[in-house]
Amino acid sequence: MHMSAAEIRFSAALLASAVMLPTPALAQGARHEARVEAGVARIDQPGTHSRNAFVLSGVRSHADSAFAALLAGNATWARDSVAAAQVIGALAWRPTAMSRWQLEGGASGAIFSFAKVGSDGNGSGWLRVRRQLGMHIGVTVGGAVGHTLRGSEQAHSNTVDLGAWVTGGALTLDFAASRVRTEDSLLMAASRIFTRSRSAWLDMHDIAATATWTHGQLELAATQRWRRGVRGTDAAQSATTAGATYAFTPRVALVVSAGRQLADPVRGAPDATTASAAVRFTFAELRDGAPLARESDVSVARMTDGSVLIVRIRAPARAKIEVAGSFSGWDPVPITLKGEIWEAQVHVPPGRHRVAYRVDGGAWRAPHGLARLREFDGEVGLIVVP
Amino acid sequence: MSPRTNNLLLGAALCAAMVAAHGVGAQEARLLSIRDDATRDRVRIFVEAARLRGTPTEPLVSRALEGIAFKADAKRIEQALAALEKRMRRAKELLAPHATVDELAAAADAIANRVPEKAISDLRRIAPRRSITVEIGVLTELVAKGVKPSVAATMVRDLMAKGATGAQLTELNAAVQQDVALGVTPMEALVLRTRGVMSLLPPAASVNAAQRP
Repeated sequence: MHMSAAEIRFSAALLASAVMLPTPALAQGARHEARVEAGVARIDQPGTHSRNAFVLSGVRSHADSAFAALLAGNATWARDSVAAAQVIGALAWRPTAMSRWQLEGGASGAIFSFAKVGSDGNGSGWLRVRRQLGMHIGVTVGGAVGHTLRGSEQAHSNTVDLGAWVTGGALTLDFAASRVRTEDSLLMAASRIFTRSRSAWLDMHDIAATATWTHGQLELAATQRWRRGVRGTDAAQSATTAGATYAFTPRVALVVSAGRQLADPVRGAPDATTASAAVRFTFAELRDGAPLARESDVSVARMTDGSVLIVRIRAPARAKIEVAGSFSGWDPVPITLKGEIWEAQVHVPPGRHRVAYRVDGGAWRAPHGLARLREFDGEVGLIVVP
Repeated sequence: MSPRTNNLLLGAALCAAMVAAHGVGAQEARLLSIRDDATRDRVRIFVEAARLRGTPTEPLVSRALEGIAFKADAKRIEQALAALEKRMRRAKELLAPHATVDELAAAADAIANRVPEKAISDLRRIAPRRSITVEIGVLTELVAKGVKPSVAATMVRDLMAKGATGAQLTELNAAVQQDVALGVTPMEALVLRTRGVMSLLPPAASVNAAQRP
């Protein structure tokens, strides 16, 4: 039932090309998103020849200001049918929307071979507390445990992590220090980390620094990681990965990455050098961007005394219509469906007001017939009440 | 001063402080609706600094909430607030010697929409002792709809000079809007509708008497 050494190394290395630990991001207002990413990867690992692989991944997430959930999966196939797959569930939670504390956690499961489901795989879980210290700085503390199964052989691993992040303009820097403990000597040997004693457990210290820079549609990220053995091994390793994402439209982006990833014993992924390119499709943006109401279907009327503003929008009953303005502190005002017309009646005090509507969470627009002002990548209508 | 006068002054000062504190408190409460900590902190810092610079903060808070509704990031909101504050300071000069917060906010929108600054100060000259928020707002709407700024400014100024009320100007604006919807150009609609309003206004002499404080 045992896999060959090359199989152990390579099938797990396939996982390394796609392994991910996503953190669901809290959002202002409810936000749903679905993403699919498809691409190719080239994987090199010590002791095996290079192979090309096809990578497919998907992410479905829901987020609001206090809770976010994410379900992700990825699968990797090589030309000779060696395959690996991973499923991840993750949550993020704040006690209140304004709290500086945030709890994040998740679990992942992976199989190293489609032919040996149940006998070769990995399960892991992690928990992390995030504390925002200031406007641009924060710290994290957490840990993870993992269990890897290869036929009749089992190995446990765990980590304890301390981290910090700082942002400035378009640049974000993340730092993490981890203590990694593992009894997965086979995975370590495949990653050129050899034991110097009969100790069942290896202890290593990791330091990682990640820089992320965003400019317009482009996001660049680079990570440098250093590893040093402190018990059971005296290995010293370092690795660099870099990646870029370019969004051609809000829905379509190109994602490329290259570099070496050090072995991740918690998730059963060995040391591997990978280069990958993929196209990402974001389906939620597609829904947000599609207007359900034409401009001529939206009108605004003022009652004769000027104190009531009526916004009427012709849109399907299934649509989610929001009307907001300076008169409501930009909170959505109640809106009702009358036949085929959505109607909001708002009492507004004398003065000048800004008003906008949107359909199904799309871009904010000025109601038809009002003077339009461009603001915040959307537009508002200007209305004066005597 | 007598003890009674002292007490009255002290009481008045306390009332004024409470009213001011209530205003600040209300704005703080509105800022609390910004859920993202980093964005809320940046907005609060900016608004507080603007307050110390003597800028009315209500329009800034309102614009920040607009940015939040539009899902703008903190940097973009801060830029919008800085631009708005700059325009309000300019509006204060144009509307001197006295301007209400609504007037400043309306004039700041007008400046942002290429309404000639001279037109704003002209409106203040015509009505130095009453609010001209509606007049500035109508002028801004007309320009934003496509009426040539100089023509819109002349029309609104002339109507004001002849004693047109804010309600009449708003009706004029609504009528222009209807005409435009029917295919008339904004310029033609304004000229046509202005003639209609002009015909209803009293002679200039009685207007001057009515506007005299």
